[in-house]
Amino acid sequence: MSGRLPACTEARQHLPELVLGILEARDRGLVLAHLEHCSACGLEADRLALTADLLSEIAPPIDPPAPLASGVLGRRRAGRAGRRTIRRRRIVVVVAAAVLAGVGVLAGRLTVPARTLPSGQGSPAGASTGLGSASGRAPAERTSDLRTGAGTVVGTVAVYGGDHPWMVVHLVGLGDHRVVDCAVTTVAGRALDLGQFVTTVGGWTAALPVPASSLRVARVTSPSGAVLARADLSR
Amino acid sequence: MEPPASRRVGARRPRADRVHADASDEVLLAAMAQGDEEAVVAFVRRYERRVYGLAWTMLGDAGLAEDVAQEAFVRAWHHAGAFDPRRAAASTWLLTIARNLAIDRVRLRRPVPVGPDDLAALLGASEDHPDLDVGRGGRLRDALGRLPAEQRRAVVLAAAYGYTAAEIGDAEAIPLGTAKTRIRAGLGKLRLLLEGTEASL
Repeated sequence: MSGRLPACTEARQHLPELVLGILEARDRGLVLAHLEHCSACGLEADRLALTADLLSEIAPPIDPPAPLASGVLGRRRAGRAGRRTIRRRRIVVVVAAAVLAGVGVLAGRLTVPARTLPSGQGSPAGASTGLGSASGRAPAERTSDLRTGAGTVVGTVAVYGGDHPWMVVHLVGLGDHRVVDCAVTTVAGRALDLGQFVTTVGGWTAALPVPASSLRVARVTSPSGAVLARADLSR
Repeated sequence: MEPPASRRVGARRPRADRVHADASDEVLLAAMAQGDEEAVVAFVRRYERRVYGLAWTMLGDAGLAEDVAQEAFVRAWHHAGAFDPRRAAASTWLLTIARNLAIDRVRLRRPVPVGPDDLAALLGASEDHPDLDVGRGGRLRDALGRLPAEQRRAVVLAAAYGYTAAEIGDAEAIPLGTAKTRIRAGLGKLRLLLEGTEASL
């Protein structure tokens, strides 16, 4: 095992928060990386997730303002027709994709652009009540600091490779609740917008439309285009 | 073929002339996986109050809660074929999908302020809601009731409101490490309690 991975004892300290979906992105990445290599901890997480999932039963039933069925049918049809709202395209929780992307469970806080999601393959059962297949998980290929122009570290970018590459942006030092844009540039100079997120989101996940190895730089910008921070992703 | 209109609004368990209304969750999910929209309607009617209730509890906003609840059903439908009844009850599976969606939205807003009365109401909620699964819901509340109060609050703030450990620390005016310890101890004990009673249900 690589010395950078947390030991079992440390990973297990984080498992309750992981299965509850509230673990901060940086720790989550580390723990998931550990679980990739440690089936004992993976089993433990899986069992703990069953308990955490039961807690979803705690809330009282409440009548929705109107019956939901027609909206559900409408969304599904709209989804199949490829008509999704901007918001849903950009900010959706992707339990299924996370399984494919290698997160397994606990994808509650991950977001990716929906248009990049493979459909019909993932299982929210694995995502919601278990850890999915161990083979689907992989540690980050690399993690780079996000720095302001003045060199202050304000977060990290963790890049995950494989067939469905993705990355997690974790911002801690950009101040209050604000909307930012995230883009990457490849080594070939191609610029790709990954979407918008809110700085207080904790960890924001984006599927990558290009191989992880082709990335050179990630930028976080304000909606007006000012670069707030950048991370060097070249090896 | 629709149930009478009078049954549509607020009907907990539609007893319509459709077989779907009386079908088990597993049968409905299997039919949904085949694209049976009537099964979807029956499944949504059966669980919309539970799903909306969870989303509203976590988000404190009717519009967001409705959005999350609808999306949860769409995802459940999309993945109905992958539901594994050996792992969890359909309601748990569905509510966990909804919870994951709601947590993501929680992260996009400030946490909903939660007072002691809110927590007490949540923990006592099952008695007022006979359509909650008595076995599972009652078992869960029994187990929660046996946790030390500070662990119970930490677990419920995390599970029902999506609070992170740091937010629990702020809310409870305790150090981050203490918040993490309470979550860990509470969930661990809960697991022992629930696993201990599993055989009896």
